[in-house]
Amino acid sequence: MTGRRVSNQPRSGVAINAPQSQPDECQSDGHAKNRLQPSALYPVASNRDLGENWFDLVVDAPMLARNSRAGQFVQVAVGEEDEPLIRRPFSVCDVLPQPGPDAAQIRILYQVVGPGTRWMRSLRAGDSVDLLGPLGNPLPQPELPDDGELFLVGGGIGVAPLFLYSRELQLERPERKFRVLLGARRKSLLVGKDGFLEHGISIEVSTDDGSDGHHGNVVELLHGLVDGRPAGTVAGIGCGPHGMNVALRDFAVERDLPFWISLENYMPCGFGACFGCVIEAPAGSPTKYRRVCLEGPAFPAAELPAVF
Amino acid sequence: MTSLQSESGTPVAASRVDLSTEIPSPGGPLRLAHPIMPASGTFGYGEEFEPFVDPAVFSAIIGKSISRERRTGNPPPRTIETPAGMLNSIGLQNPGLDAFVESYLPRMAQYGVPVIVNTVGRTLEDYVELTRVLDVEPAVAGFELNISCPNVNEGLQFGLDPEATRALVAAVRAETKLPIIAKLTPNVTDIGEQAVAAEEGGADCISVINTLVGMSVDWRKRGSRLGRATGGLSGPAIRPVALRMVWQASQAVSVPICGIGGITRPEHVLEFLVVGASTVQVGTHLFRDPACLTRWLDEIRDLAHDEGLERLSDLVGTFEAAG
Repeated sequence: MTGRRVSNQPRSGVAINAPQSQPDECQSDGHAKNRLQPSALYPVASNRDLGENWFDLVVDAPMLARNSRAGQFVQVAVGEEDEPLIRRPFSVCDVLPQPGPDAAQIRILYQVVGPGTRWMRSLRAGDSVDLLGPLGNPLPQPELPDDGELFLVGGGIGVAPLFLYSRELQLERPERKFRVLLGARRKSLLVGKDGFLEHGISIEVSTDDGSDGHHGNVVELLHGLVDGRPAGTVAGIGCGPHGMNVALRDFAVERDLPFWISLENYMPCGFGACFGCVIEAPAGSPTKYRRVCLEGPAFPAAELPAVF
Repeated sequence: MTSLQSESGTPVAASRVDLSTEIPSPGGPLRLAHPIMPASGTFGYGEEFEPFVDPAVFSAIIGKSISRERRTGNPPPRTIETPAGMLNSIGLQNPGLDAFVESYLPRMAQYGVPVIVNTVGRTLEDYVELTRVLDVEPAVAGFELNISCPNVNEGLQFGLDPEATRALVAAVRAETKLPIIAKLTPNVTDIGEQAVAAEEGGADCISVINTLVGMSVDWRKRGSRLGRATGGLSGPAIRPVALRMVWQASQAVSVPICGIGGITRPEHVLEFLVVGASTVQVGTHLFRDPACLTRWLDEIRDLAHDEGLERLSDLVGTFEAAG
């Protein structure tokens, strides 16, 4: 599938904050205006306990599933009425049965950490959940030479968008060589590993305690696999906890590697209205700050500010 | 649903309940199809809502505050959820007057509902200049003066001092015949005194309340969870305070009141009308439910109809204090 160029302009055109942050070789199947749905109630198909407080929520939502691209997210209205007040953003982890016109369900991976996700844990098949989306921009598909390789680097819950991204690559760009690196504190937290294997996707893992794969963190694992490769043959996408994102940014910038890093800032609205989720924009941009939800959530590593 | 009989004996459908209202001004009344507008700062400039809802579902639209100069806003983190609400410290990020007139206003005008511009300045002259430039723009239907933002070091000062409020509104009044809405801060001892000052200065409407100053503290960090020490509290948590202040302001002045603060259901709109608001603004709730108004107007008509009201405005100021 050939794609349109991702625009970092707001969906509807008025340039509020429009640095052309993604280079021309970055292509993606763009996300057209007016494909969003107003928030709506969708039936829960399943809500599976994966252990370690991780859950796998599948929702019957054909329109959302057909329109969602890897890297985009949905805002989940948690709780009853308006408490908790703010929706929680979750990456679309997968669309079922597969990306494309037949997609009928979306999958969300979440970890129970507070009142919002505790409420989500209580969802049962047949319950309704209010979703808004898909929001944000799809992850880019960096152009690489035939012998180039794309590295998808996930840490913990950051695996979610990379799973759908892998599925899209398999279906749409089967010639693209890529591999998935997944890191976690220990083996039981390597959520999603089996899913990649089931789809025949090459995955390497790291654990901080050495209980599976490389003993260390995932950026060190990446280091060992990337160093020494010819310039221009490596690109990547990363998504993980803040510490991993910072380490990955530093790694990529030091080596001038085209990596995009997907952020998960606190975002009250998720669609650009509140200006609450901003990060500092690169020097020379029209505005000092830009919105993670609307201009991101993934940004080129080189464009991330010192503190983000 | 009860079936009401009109004087001629024919049933009155809920859909016939008149929701309209108006804000009078020296240049003539600003007629509104219903009382509900978006609160400045929660609606972007309208375009952010286009994917979900026609912005014209609101009776008028109010974008983020506009200052003469472009403002970068406050350092992140800018928002944090709190019980039944959230704190924000956005810091009035906005493109500035020139870019607003050139790029944003034309788009807002296309929606087909009145555009009320929320203005903010550091000095009285800033507000005057903003009004002078915007008053001649055909797309501008009115002004809301933000003299109450808690997240910057100026602006709010006007709203804390009745004399400054009166002088500011009077200076702006001299520049426009369009409706002037003075948006007041709740961070005062006597909201009535501020409302009177705005009315005496020539305001056509008083909007209450802006956010309440609050803090969210990370004790291990010995610091704020926001990029600044304090932020503005919004959401359902402030609704009781907002209702009280609308009630007090409405007793102090004769100009209409626009009620703001924690509206998350159609019934809340009616609560604000009862305590004296003739219009309302929905803010933080739009983050959770950006298209809520597509359902609310019918629900409000039904509620009013069930109560035997032919005009929603008949509810305004009907609060009966006990004792």
